[in-house]
Amino acid sequence: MKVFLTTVTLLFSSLSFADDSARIKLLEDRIRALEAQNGSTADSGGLKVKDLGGQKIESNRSPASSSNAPALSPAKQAEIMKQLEGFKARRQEEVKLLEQMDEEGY
Amino acid sequence: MKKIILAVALSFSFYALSSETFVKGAGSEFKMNSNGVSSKLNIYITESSFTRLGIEYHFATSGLIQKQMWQQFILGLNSDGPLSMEAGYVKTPELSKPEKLTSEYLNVNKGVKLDQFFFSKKKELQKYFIGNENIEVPAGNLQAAHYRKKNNGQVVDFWISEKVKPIGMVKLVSKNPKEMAQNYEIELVSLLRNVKATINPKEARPLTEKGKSALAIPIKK
Repeated sequence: MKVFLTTVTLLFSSLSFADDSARIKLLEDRIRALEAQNGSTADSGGLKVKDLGGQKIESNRSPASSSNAPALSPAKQAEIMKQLEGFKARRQEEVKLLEQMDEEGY
Repeated sequence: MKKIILAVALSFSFYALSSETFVKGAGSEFKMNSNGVSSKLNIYITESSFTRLGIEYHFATSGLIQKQMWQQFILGLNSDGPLSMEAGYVKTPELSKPEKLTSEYLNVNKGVKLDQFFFSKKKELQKYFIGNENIEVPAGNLQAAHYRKKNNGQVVDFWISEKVKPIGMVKLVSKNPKEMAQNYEIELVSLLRNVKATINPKEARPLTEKGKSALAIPIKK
């Protein structure tokens, strides 16, 4: 009985080990695929390395542009920046006015 | 943000000064967080000789409003003495050609000064040494030397390692309760190889108002 149980345990352990090994391999392949997609590999010390192959870091290769954050169109960005500048200018005027009122003892 | 970018650009420390360390096209990609704003920073070597060293910085903010800027600095190398900043250039997508920085824009760092921090030699850095630490950054896990420098209210903690040459920087945390622009954190994302410079100094024009608007305001002395 003991021999049978030991055999069964060992068999299941081997199967489980084989299953884990297959899963690890799948995960390693997935990591390599993701690294290739991202343009990076790992060096001998395990650190990520990106080889640009003599290319410039341009906007479309920029790590920032690879983020999932949605970007506004340049026209929309310019419009928002203009609005922000306007808001800042109005805010400065308000602060100036408040300071004047404060000085005049309101 | 512009102010932070230039302060960061001029705040980097390089771990070793031998010219053999500086391979053209090699560098580091960092992620930077400053007051809730996230951005990417790439630093790489554009030229290297016994007397001159060229470094280019690329900054990019992500999110709804994406901004990009390249800056290149040419440094004069001396065997013993401090480095001299020979020239600087700026380029943005809005500028058709790179523009040459005037002297007032070459040193705008109010806190930890360029000559105290930039290209520090190992021996000079020893007085700021805190200890060797195991540190985890997006690029991986590694042992790095922890240093701390203080100047004008700015406290800069930085971790450097020979494994991430030529830049050497693994992580940097700058804090200053009185100066918002000096509160930021930088972490190594990956090492870079074979990067081509975006700025060609030979194409540079004199600095225009448009170019100035992309830069930090120089500090009046």
